[in-house]
Amino acid sequence: MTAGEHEYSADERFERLLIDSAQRDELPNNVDVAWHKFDSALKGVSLLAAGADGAFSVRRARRLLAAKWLAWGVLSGSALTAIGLRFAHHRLPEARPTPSAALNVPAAPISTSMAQVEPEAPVREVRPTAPIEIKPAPHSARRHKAPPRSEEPTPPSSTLAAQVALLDSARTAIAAGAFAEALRLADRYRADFSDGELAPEAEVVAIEALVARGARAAAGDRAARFLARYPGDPHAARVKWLVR
Amino acid sequence: MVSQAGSPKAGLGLEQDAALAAGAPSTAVQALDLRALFTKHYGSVWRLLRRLGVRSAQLDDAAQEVFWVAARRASDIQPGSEHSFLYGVALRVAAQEAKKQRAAAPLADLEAHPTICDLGPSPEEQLAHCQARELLDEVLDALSPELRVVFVLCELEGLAVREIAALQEIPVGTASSRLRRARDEFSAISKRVRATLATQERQRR
Repeated sequence: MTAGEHEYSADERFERLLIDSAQRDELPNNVDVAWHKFDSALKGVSLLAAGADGAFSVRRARRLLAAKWLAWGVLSGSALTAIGLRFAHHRLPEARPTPSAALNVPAAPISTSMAQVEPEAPVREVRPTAPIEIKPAPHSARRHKAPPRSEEPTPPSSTLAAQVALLDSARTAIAAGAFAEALRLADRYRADFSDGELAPEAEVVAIEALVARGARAAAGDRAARFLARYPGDPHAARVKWLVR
Repeated sequence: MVSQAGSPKAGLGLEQDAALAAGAPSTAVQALDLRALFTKHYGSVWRLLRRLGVRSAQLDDAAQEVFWVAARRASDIQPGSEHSFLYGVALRVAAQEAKKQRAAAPLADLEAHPTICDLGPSPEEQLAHCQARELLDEVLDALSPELRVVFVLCELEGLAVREIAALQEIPVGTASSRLRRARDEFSAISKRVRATLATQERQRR
């Protein structure tokens, strides 16, 4: 195998080891919890907005929500503390609960989150005349200037945008552990855009997916073809390392 | 509060929200299944933020911040470019967090890093994965912020230079130049870290 013939120095191997360690980065396992927290805050903001006249501030609404949750947390915490103390008094006089610990239980997760929103955060005061303070990714901003929107998702209007979208999907599939799907999407890229500008990246995704599936022989063959076709590509070192 | 978790339109309160925020009538706002967007991309956004240096204690909030922006900008997100949009926002959120973190605490002293494992002839085979990951964080922390971003996007996220340039709204040449500098710096720092670890290990023995 071409990649196997390359001799790496100890420093290079150490460097690749560090970079490769990120390939097993775990994804958060509390997405549902995160969603419900997010959704609850959104609904609260919508309620506040519906009752507001004039300018509407998301940040202000989030602060109000934070205050609301903080108050709820303190009250609940106090109640829990009281119950805990009562319980300890009757059942376990030698092991009294710590009031502060009880106070922190319900309040911390939500109020901490909301307290993070401060003036320099990306979500700022929203005014009808200048509602945009964070520019969207250029893929959408520059290449899709205010296209008409319809109920059905429309395919991206430019070839490059379509390539990016397809690669995005493949990478998302890898991130989700759907390696077969990632491989299918990468191969679809090859079929749809044989000379596409992002063809090397699509190949890297395919090789990653093959390696992740344990198909090392197929990955090696594909890596060899990649290195022959794109010898000076910035991803060449990564490909060599993937099939080392 | 009524949960909309099971509804395909879950989270669509957001459209009303975005319309209010933009001062536009709600009927003009493109419907966006925010829940699907959140479920599909929350993990990768969260992981990108971590790789960009957002500390664990702030990760969840920073990830939610990204989706707050997406919620408010729902009508600007083109079908098929959700991932790019979210990554673009994540870069900005991470930059904000990095500023706060730099103000709060100095960078870790790499030279003072304790010996965390045995290093032999093949140190990479003996370093536990988690230890390597911790060292990666330290090396990334030692990169300048602008170099860290391009390095993470290319080496860890697998993005092409063109995509990195587009996300950061910089010329492709600038992105390429930063990537070269980032790789050089990364190599130099990781070499230093390895040398330090090896020295400490020899002293320990």
